[in-house]
Amino acid sequence: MNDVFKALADPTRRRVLQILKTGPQTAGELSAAFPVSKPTMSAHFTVLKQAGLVTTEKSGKSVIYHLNVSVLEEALLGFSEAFGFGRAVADTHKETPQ
Amino acid sequence: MITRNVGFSLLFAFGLIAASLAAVWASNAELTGPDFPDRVAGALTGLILAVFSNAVAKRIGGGETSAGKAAAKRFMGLAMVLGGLAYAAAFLFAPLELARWIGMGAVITALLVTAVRFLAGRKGAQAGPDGH
Repeated sequence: MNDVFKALADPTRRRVLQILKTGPQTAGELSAAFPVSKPTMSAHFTVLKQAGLVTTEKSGKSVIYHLNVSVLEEALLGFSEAFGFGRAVADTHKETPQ
Repeated sequence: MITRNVGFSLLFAFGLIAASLAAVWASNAELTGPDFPDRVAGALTGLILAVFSNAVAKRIGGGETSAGKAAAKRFMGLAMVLGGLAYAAAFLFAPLELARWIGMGAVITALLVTAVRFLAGRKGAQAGPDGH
């Protein structure tokens, strides 16, 4: 559960989860939606995967990310989005995944 | 080998048995009212439903290729968690003779809403993305 809180504390990772709610996306498609470098996004993906909030599937050269959240995790995502947890920290360290 | 999930379920089962025995003992010892064991059993049943429904979207199937199917699974989990919590709340707070009806009503409503959601999703998928 600690990993889940850590993953949800960052607004970029929360945004990734929100995007994945609309359907599976490749790592490239997800990275293109954010003004951060690919290694930074890769680090965000690793945190999400470690928390078990996303699953991956290899398709040729690309990796497809799927949302994999429980009801409680989705509620926590909604709460952290509503209260803007980690937004102030993210503004000061825009390129550093937490 | 006992996996983490089986271990959790066994622990949960032992907890339920222990709580039910404790409730019966408390009632027999006249520490609580005569309806206390029924209320505890009902509340725990609702909580079981909520706890196990919580992980439905995560554990069943997984890796859905369609966004609609994944969303429907998440919806099913949410509906059943709310149904389970309503069942537990009914047994905790409503008069016992009404609690069974309210609780079952909540769970049946959750099942019906889930079925409607799945059918609507299926119809939408058959109609295609432009609705034809």
